[in-house]
Amino acid sequence: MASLRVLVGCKRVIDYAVKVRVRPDKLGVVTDGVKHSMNPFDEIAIEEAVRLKEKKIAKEIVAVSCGPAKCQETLRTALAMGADRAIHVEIAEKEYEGIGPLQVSKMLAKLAKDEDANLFIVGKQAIDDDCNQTGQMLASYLDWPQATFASEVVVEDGDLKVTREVDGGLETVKVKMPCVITADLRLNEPRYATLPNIMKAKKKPMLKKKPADLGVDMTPHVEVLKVDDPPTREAGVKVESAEELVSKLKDVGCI
Amino acid sequence: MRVFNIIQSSLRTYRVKRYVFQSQLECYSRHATSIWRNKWQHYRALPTGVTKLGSEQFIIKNTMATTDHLTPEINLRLMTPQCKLYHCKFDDTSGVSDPYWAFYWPGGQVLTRFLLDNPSYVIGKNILDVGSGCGATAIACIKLGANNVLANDIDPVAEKAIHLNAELNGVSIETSTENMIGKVDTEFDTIILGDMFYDESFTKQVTDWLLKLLSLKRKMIMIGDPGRVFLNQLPIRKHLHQLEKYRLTEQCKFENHGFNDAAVWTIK
Ligand SMILES: C[S@@+](CC[C@H](N)C(=O)[O-])C[C@H]1O[C@@H](n2cnc3c(N)ncnc32)[C@H](O)[C@@H]1O
Repeated sequence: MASLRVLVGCKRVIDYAVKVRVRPDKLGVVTDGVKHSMNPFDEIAIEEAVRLKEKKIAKEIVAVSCGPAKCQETLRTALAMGADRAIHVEIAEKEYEGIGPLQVSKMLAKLAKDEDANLFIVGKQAIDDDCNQTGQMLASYLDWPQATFASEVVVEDGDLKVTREVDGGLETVKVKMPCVITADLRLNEPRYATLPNIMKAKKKPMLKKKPADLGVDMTPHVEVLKVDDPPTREAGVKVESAEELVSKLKDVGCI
Repeated sequence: MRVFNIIQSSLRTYRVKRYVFQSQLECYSRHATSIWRNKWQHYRALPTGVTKLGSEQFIIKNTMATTDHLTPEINLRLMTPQCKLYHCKFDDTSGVSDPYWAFYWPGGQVLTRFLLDNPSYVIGKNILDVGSGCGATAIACIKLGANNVLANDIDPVAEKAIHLNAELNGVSIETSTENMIGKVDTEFDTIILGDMFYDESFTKQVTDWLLKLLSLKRKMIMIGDPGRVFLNQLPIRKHLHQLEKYRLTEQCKFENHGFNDAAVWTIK
């Protein structure tokens, strides 16, 4: 029964709890000395894969990350959550700045082929660039069906029945494997790694690759022109009575 | 725009939810982390060949006697969630020898359960427990009436933990820290291994040894394992015969993500 090899994409991003600061050159955000962790949606993706393994549907989980050396910490987290092994595609810091979902999805597609994957789960988007493109591009490069924004995944007659979170409701689709799934928020609640899992994770294999090994062209296709802070909120005013509120609203032309 | 808002708001809920959870966890683990660092530094600072007092006290302070495992007839000092060090994080453990002896691994649990339920594999036998860890399987063998039991673990702290656990169960035990993997001139008739297949190259080394032992002499070899991937990728897989399979306890699953059960095999 346990037959699937599941690949999961894990991106290292600025931690969700960190207050992000724009760089003085306005071409990116400050990353030096800032706490990073696994993209929350990718944690959900790993969790789903581990659950498939616990149900004996998956036989092996391979966590994959493309990026600078520090991505290995992210991969160790994935291994401690229950992935069996990891692949790190190492990209120099400078080069990594220029690339995006296009190059990453090409690398993931090549790995999916090399590893003979049956299922690729990625987060629906990363909380740093909010692109929401990698899963879709990956499916397209592989020419595999995809089920995006998944909130439930069940195996039915060898196919996957996936519930998708769509605007204002849910949609249920059936996809044949191999396929790509992108994880939405409500798919599951990821577990955290306990000490025994962490200890064993250190012994799990981590394969290192370079983009050139995968034959992917790393030429940037998108140029960042400017990064701005969100507009700062102006201070409000206190009103004493309903009458005053109404007159203030009239003053600013709201009513 | 609407879609964008939904994404934003769901992400916000998510962040808030996670944040609350994380901050509770962090508040706890920050405390635990600093304790862990101090303790480990103290532990490492001890002269080589750790004084008897040092590592024993370390074990006693950082473990709790528990029967929350598959062999409750054996009481074991283990690092449980009630112990502070249980909650330390990644970087805190790197560079020091990890406390494998402080946990009762799924492979060891099912192997011990199997032997307790099938004493004929043990009674009157000369048994070598390789990678004994907390010593549970070896202790069970003594209690069941083996002729001779050697608990072997290369970690000197594990050796201390094995003695403490034996004492807790009213037996005395013979231990050794010699690396026996690769040795073929052994008088033991039964070799048991609980959860020794978590590292790829080590698994190859151990299984090659077991196959060699098997080809040289008639030995009874039994292993307990939750089905870690490497076992299924090496030549040994053709020699594995399953004797029994058990569901793991909730606590054990929590400590071994991805596994719900583990099995006992003999090698033929
Ligand atoms: C995962 S633990 C298993 C402990 C115990 N059998 C159980 O199942 O709970 C692996 C143990 O093997 C020990 N070990 C590692 N290499 C060894 C070797 N070459 N010879 C003996 N023991 C070894 C470690 O120190 C550790 O205590």
